[in-house]
Amino acid sequence: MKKKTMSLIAVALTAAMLAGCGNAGSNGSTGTTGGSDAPAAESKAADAAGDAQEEAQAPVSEGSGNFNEFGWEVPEETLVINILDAAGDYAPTESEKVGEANVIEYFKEKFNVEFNIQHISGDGTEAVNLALASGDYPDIIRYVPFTVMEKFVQMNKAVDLTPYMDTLGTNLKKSMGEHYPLFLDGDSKLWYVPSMMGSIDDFPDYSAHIRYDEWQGIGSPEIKTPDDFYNALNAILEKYPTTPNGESRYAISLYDSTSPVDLCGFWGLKSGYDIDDEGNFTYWAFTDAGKEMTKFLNRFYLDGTLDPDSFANNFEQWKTKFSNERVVGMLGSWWISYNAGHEVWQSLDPNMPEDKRFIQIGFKSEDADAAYLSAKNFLGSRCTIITDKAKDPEALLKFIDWQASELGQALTGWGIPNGTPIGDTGETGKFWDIDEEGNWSVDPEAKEQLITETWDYEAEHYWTGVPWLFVNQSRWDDGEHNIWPNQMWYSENKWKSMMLDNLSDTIFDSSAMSLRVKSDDIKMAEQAVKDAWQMNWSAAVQANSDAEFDAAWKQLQDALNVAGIDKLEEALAENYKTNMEKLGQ
Amino acid sequence: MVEGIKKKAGHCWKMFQKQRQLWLLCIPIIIWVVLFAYVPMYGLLIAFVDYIPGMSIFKCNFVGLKYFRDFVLSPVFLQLLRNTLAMSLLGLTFGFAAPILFALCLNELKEGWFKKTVQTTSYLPHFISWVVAGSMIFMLLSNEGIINDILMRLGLTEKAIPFLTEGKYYWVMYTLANIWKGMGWSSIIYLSAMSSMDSELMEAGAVDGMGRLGAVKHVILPTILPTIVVQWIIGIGGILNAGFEQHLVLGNTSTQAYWDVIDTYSYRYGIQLGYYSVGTAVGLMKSIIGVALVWATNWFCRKKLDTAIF
Repeated sequence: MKKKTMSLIAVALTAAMLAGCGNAGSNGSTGTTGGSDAPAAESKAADAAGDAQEEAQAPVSEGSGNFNEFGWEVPEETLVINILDAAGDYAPTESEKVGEANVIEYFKEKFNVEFNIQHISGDGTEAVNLALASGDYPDIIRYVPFTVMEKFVQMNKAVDLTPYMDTLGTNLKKSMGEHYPLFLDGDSKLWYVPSMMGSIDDFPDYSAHIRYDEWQGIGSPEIKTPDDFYNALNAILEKYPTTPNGESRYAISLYDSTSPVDLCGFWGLKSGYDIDDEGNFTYWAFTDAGKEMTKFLNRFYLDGTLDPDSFANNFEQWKTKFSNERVVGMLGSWWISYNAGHEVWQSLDPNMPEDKRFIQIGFKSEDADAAYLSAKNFLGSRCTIITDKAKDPEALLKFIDWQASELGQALTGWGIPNGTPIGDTGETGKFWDIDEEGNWSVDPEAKEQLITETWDYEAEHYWTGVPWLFVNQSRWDDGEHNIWPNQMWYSENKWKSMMLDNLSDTIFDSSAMSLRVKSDDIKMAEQAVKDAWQMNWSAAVQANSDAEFDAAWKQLQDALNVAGIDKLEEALAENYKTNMEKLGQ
Repeated sequence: MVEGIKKKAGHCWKMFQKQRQLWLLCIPIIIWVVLFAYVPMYGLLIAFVDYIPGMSIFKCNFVGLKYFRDFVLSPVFLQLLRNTLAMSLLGLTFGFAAPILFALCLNELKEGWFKKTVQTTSYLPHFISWVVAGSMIFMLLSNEGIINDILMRLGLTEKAIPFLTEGKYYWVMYTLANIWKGMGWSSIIYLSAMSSMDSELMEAGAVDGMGRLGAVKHVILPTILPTIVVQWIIGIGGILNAGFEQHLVLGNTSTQAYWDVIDTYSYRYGIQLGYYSVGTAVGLMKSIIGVALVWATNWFCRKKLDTAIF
C-alpha cells in the first residue's frame, strides 16, 4: 500500500510538472506583458489568433468592393491583425484601457478588422529582441528600433514591402514623399514603414521657459542671449524668493532626462554637433559652444540658484517641485511647463489668473549663427514591420496603407468620431464628426476647448487608442490639420501664437543627420559615449572653481575619447554626406 | 581498479534499491533540475559565437573568447571591477556582520512583546521593493531631505550635504541601505541556529561565572559557527554580484562612476542593446569566478575551521 501510494505521488507530481511546462493556449483580445515575459505571452496571443487568421486573411487582399465612410474596403471575412507593440513601459490608466476596448469594438463593427494587441509593460526593445531570439512574435511589430528592425531583415523575418509600394502602398509612398529614398536600404528595398514619421515643421519642440507673470513683475526685460536669461531668472528669484507656502525657490532645475545634446542648441549646435561646411561633425564636448553651455549652468550652481538635486531628480520628483512653484525657469520640451505648470494650477484653482503660467522663449549665444532647438527628423526613429509570420502580408499592408490615407490618419490620431461615452459619466465626447458619405468636420466645441486650453485630455482617452502602425505628424495638404488635435489653429490661441513668435527661427530639419544603419562598433561606441558624458558632465556643471571646472572638462573629453567619439563623428559625417547626396543637396 | 569501480557501483545500486522510494519521490525534482537548470546551460555557447537573435547558435560565427577579451580590455573594466568589489566587500564585512550582531542582541532579550515587535519590525524593510525604498531614501537623503534638514537645524553643517549626487557617498549609502533592508531578514537564520543551542552549556557556564559576553564568545558563537561559515561561503561566491536594481533606483548620472557595476554594464550592453553574446560572456565569467571562489573558500574553511559545505 505504502509503495503504491509513493509511486502514485511520484507519478502525479511528474505529470503535474510536465503539464505546467505545456502551453495553456488561451488568450484575450489584448494583453500586457513584462519585458522578459513577452515572447511566452505573445506566443499565446499568436496561437490563439493564428487559427482565426489562417482562415480569415486569405481573401482580404483581393477586396470586396464594399467601402465604408473612411474609405476602407471592408473585407467579407474578418481581417485579424496581431500586433506586438514594442513601445514598452505600458501602464494604461483606466480610461486608456476603456479607450482601447472602444477602438477594438469600433474597428470590428465598422471595418471588420480585429486587433489583437500585445503591449509591453517593461523595456520594449528588450522584449522584441527576446521575441526575435525565441521566434515568438506576431504578424506585425510596431515601434521597433531601427537597429532591431535590421536584425529581423538580416534573419529574413521581415517582409520586403518594395514590390507592393506602387500598388498597395500608394498612400504610404505619397506620405513619405521626398524622403522615400531615405527609407530604402542599400539595395533600394523597403523593409518597414515608420511607426511615426514627419513633423510639424512650423511648431517648436524645445525651448526655454520662464514664469510669465513674474517676468512681467520684473519689467519684462528682453531675453535674447544666455546672459539675458540668466539675469531675468535671478531678478525674478530676487523679487520672489519663496513660494506662496514659504518654500525656497531655484532659478533653474534639471532632471534625469536633461541632456546637454539638447541644451547646446541655444549655443548654435545641431543635435549636439557642430557641422562644418564639408559635413564634418564635432561633438559638443569638443566645442567652445558646449563648454559655454556647461559654464552657463555652472554659473547657477556657483550662485546656489541651481536646484542642488538637479542630477538626482527623476521626472516625477522634478514635476512636484515645478508644480509647487519652486522653479523660476527651465530648459526643455514646450509641453512640460504646460503639463507641470498652469494645467496643474488651473485644475486646483479654476479662477487662477491667466498670466500665472510659463511661456516658451528662445535665446541664442552671441557667437552662434542661430539657436537650433527643435530638430525635426521627418524619418522618425521607430519602425513597423510585417513579419514572416503573416499569412497574408498584402492584406496587412493594405490596412497600413489605409491608415496612411487622410481619413486613416484622422481616425488614428483623433479617435472615434461622432461621440463616445466618457466612462460612467453619462456624457459623450469627440473631436470630430463624419457622415456615411465620408464628409467630415472638426467638432466646433472641441476646437473651441482646444483653442482656449480647456480641453479635457483625460476624457480624450475614451475615444482614442487606435494602434499607430503608420502615422505622419506633418500637416496635411490643407496646411491646417494634422494628427494632433492640440496642434492646430495656433493663430487663434494667444499662448501658442506667442510661442511661435518666440521660437519660429529655432526649428531645423535634422533628417539627413539621422544615422540609421550602424555597425556593431558604432552601436557600442554610441552607448559608451552616452555613458561617458553621463558619468562626467555633471562634475563640470557642479564644479566649485575654474580649476575644478577645467579638470572636470578635461576628464569628460578624455572619457569621450576613450569611448570612441571619433568613430561616431566619422560615421555621422559619412552618413550625413550620403543622405545629402540622396536628397540632391 | 575495475574491481574497485565494480564494488562502488554495486554499493551505489544497493543504496539505490534501499532508498528507491525516496528516489522515486525525487524524480520530479530531478527532472525539474535537468530541464530548467542544466538544459538551458547550452545557451552559454552564445558567449563564444557572434550571436544573432533568432538564428541557431550552431549557425552563428564562432568567435572564441572575443567577448571575454573585449570586456576585460574595455576601458571601463577596471572601474566596473573596482565598484563591484568595493560594494561587495563592504557587504561581506559590514553587511555580513550586521545580522549576526542583530541576532545576538535579539537573543539577549527576554521573550515578550518588545522582542517580538523588534523582530517583526526588522523584517519589514525586506518586503519593501527597491523602487519604494529608493523614494524613501530620496526623501531622507536629498539636498532638501530630512537628514540634511536635521543637520542644518542642529548647526552641524551650513550647506546641505549632497549624499545622492556625490559619488564618494554612494558606496556607504548603498551598504547602509542594504543593511537596513536585509539585516532583520538575514538574522532569522542565525536566530534559528541559536535556538538549537544546548541550554546545559549555558547553565554550566553560568555556574562557572561566565558573563553575557563570555556566553556569546564561548557558547553562542561556536554553536552558530557552521551557519556563519555556510553563509560566508555562499557570500564569497556572490562577490561579483554587487546589486543591480538598487543602482538603477538609487544611482544617477552624477554617481554613475561609482555605482556602475558588472551587472548594470552587462544589462546595458547585453540586454538593452541586444548583444546577448556580451551579456552571456560577462555572466559566464562571473559564474566561473564565483564557483572558483566558493571552492577555495570551502577548502579554506575546512582546513582552518573544520566546517564546510561540501
